[in-house]
Amino acid sequence: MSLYELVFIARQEISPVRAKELAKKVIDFITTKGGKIKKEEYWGFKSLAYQIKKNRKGHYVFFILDASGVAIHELGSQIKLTQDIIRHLFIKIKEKDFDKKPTKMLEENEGEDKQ
Amino acid sequence: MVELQKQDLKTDKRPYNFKKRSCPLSITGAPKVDYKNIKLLKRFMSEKGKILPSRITFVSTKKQRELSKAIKRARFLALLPYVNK
Repeated sequence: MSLYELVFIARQEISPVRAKELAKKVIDFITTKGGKIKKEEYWGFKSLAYQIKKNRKGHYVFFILDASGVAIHELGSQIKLTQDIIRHLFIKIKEKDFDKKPTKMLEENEGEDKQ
Repeated sequence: MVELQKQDLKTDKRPYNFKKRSCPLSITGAPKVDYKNIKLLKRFMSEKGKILPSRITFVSTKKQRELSKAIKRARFLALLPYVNK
């Protein structure tokens, strides 16, 4: 078991509710494989720096997962089959790098809302 | 001006006070280099979206390596552009 970060970008046409459903699918998958969710964040409907599959915007969802390598590998192939997800990234992180505080992304989002 | 420089050469001093700049990411309390911290990464990129060389930003070799990796991750996730046209 080790810690992984996962970010995925969902298609622009879908609703935030559907994006959260996708997030829930990931959580269910990991928990059935015996893993844990350490952190879950919805970064919001952000504009992309460049077009991905003709999408100009996307729903960003972020996780920190504690799971086995096999489970992560299977999750990766599951995500590839999901057409609503246009891009995803797994990163293995060290135990000491884990931070309970919300990430910088959320802080920025809050700032945007205030403006 | 030329005279001044000659004098300085004699006394083995530099004509201007060059302060040695230390790495802005290695001092205590410096923010962590992370692909999620877009504001920080943008400070080390040119307007066109290129990664600035460390000889300009004075970032240490170790931190520059972390920085380039973080920027490339952020680019992959479309948080930063590959090129700013």
